[in-house]
This record gives sequence, structure tokens and C-alpha cells, in this order.
Amino acid sequence: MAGMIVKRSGQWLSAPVGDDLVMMSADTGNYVTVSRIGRRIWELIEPPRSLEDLCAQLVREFEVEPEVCAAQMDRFLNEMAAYHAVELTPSPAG
Amino acid sequence: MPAYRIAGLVVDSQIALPGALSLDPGAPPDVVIGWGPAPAALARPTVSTPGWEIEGELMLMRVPGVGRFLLCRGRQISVDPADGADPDDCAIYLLGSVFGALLHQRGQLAFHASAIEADGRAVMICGPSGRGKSTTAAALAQLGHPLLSDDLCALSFDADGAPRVHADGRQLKLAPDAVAALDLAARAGARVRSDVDKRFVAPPAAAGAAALPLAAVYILRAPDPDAPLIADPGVSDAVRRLQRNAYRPGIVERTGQQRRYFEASAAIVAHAGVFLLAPPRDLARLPQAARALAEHWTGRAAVRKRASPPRGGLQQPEATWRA
Repeated sequence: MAGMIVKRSGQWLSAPVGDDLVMMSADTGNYVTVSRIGRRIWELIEPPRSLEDLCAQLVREFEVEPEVCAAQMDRFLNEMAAYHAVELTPSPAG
Repeated sequence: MPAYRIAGLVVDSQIALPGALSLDPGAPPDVVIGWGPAPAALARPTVSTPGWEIEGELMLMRVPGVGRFLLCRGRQISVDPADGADPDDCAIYLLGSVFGALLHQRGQLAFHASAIEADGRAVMICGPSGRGKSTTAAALAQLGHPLLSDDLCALSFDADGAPRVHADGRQLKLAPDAVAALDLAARAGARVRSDVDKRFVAPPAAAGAAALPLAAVYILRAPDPDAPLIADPGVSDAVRRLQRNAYRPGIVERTGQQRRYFEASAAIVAHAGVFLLAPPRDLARLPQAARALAEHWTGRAAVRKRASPPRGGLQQPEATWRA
């Protein structure tokens, strides 16, 4: 995953529900709800960010070991990619 | 001119509205309804469908065999009946689709739902036509819960962002088997329409004029013998289903209000419990199901908000995919 850039994909409406964020795809009408940390990731990838940078930021903000964060972030982003909510692309510099 | 309270608004109507409960005249009206001309089409509509079109502050609705309705600035409705139309049929459309459209014109939120009052708060029953909104509301009214509205719920958010349901004095529309099952024959009146078997039924108790904070929403799901009486749909599906229960989703879509209804639906889920409800199947068990429903929201009364459970690490996203 090193050298990858993560960015939002497609047009999404979003609204808070407590700590969660519910998202609706304006393109497909599909819905996704993410919890507090997922919501923070969604904020952090606008503008697009490298995975390393994203992980480092999450480690600064939440009490989590870097390895645990990287693994869980990886799983989360892959699932969001399957929902066509995020896109992972190789970094031009990486 | 008779006055009514519809969706929280004082309505003066030259046309008798059989399903609506009369108010004492005197309050200044928010909306005035009268017989009057309505064109066959608007001159330069910005949105046009076979049933309705919009041009600026005007909206025209056409119902074949019933008439045309011209809505102006959310304050005035002119009814131009079709040749030979039954005035009571005009009244039925006025209280339903036309008033729903008027709420859109006023920038209010309209949902396809009935509502009752429970301890000063509102409980909404949503669902498509024919699924059992009125029947469920009637069963709850028989338990002593005042009827707040039937079929159409106007909703707004107070200064704290909490949703409130506006009072609507109207009679229930019930099929004969529901009237019999709920022992409401003594309260049943005229037929809703000459070609429809449903009858107007005066609710055993009607709520006051105040808009009430929303405690819970129960969305009638498609019939499924394996479904429990009440289920939690999760956030994504709750928001999606609420949006689909807008009155009417087609108007919301064609007038560019999806974002507004999406955000409102999310705010409803944030403030009130939103649940799936199995539609009434066995009418003989309706009172029992209504009691179980009342116990469900009473059990939740202390929980004013959807509490987020403590979570370790990253919770995976929860999605609702369109089939």
C-alpha cells in the first residue's frame, strides 16, 4: 500500500447522525454509514492524501498503534472502494 | 367559510372537506381554498410532468375526471372541477396530493405517514398506500393515543434542530374489516369516495393544535411472514426508507429537494428512533400488536437519542445497496 494516494470517488451527500456520518451517493442512490473514525477519514481525504500521511494523522488524533491503524485503515478503505466511495491510486511521486 | 387545521395550518375553505375536522372560525387563515379557474397548462413551466407543473410561485396539478388545482405561494388553492366531478372527490385530492404539494411550496417537509400522540410526543407510522398506516394509527388511537394526523405528516425542526410533527385535525380512512376488528362501527361515517370501500372514521381522541416533538418513527415494511413485529434497520436503511416516504418522492426529485430530504431524514434518525414495523396481517390480533408497539416506544422513552455504542478501532462502514 506504500506510495498510494486515497481520494473520494463520485458525488456524495453526507449528514451527521450522532457521531456517525450517513452518506448517499448522488450517482447511484446507494447509502453508506461510517462511524466516528471513518467520518474523520472522509474529512481527511479531501483533498486527496497519501496513505502514509493519513495513517500518521490518525495515529496523532486517536489512541491507536501505527500497525493496528494501518491494518484497519486498509480494510476500511478497501470496503469504501468497493462501495465506489473512495479510490486508491499510485502516487505520481511514489 | 369553514375553517380547518391541516398540517398545522389554519385553512379557510369554500369547499367542504369531509375528512377534516372543523375549527372555530376566527383565526387568521394561513391558506385559503376556493372554487376558481385553473389553466390547462402554465405558460412557461420550469418543471413539467403529466400530473403537475411549476412556474415560479405557481404550481398546477391535474387530476383526470376530478379537476385542476392551482397553488399559489403556498397560501392559496383554486379548484377548477372537471365536468361532472363530485366535489367530495375534489376534497379528497385537496387533503392528500394537493396539500402535500402545498407543503412543498411552503418549504415544509411532508411525509407519507399517520401519527399519534404518546405522552406529549409524536409517534409516526410511515408506509406506502394500502400498507396499514391508518389501520395501525386507529389501533393505537383505540388504546387512548390521540390521533395527530392521518396519511400526511408535516414536519419541521425546532430551534434545537429537533423534529416536530404538526397537528392535523382529520378523520381516519379505514376499510370495513379494520372498522369491525377495532370495534369502531359507531364512529364510522360516509364513504371516502363513491368508488372506494373505505369510510371516514372519527378518531376516538384527537390531539391538540401544538406541534409535538417526534419520539419514534415506525416504517411499515413489505409483508414478510418471517419478519419480527419490530426491527432496527440501521442508520443507512433508516435514512433511505424515510426519504422514500416523502410525500411524494417524485415531487422531491423533480424539484431538486433530495439534499433537503436526505439531511432531514438523517436529522430524524439522529433525534428519534426509526424502526421497521411488520404490517398488520391478522386484524383480530391488531389490538395486541398495537399494545406491543406502545410498549416498544415506552421502553425507549428514556433514550432520547440514538446512543452510539462505544467502539474500539475502526468500525467498518454499514451500507445499504440499491438492488
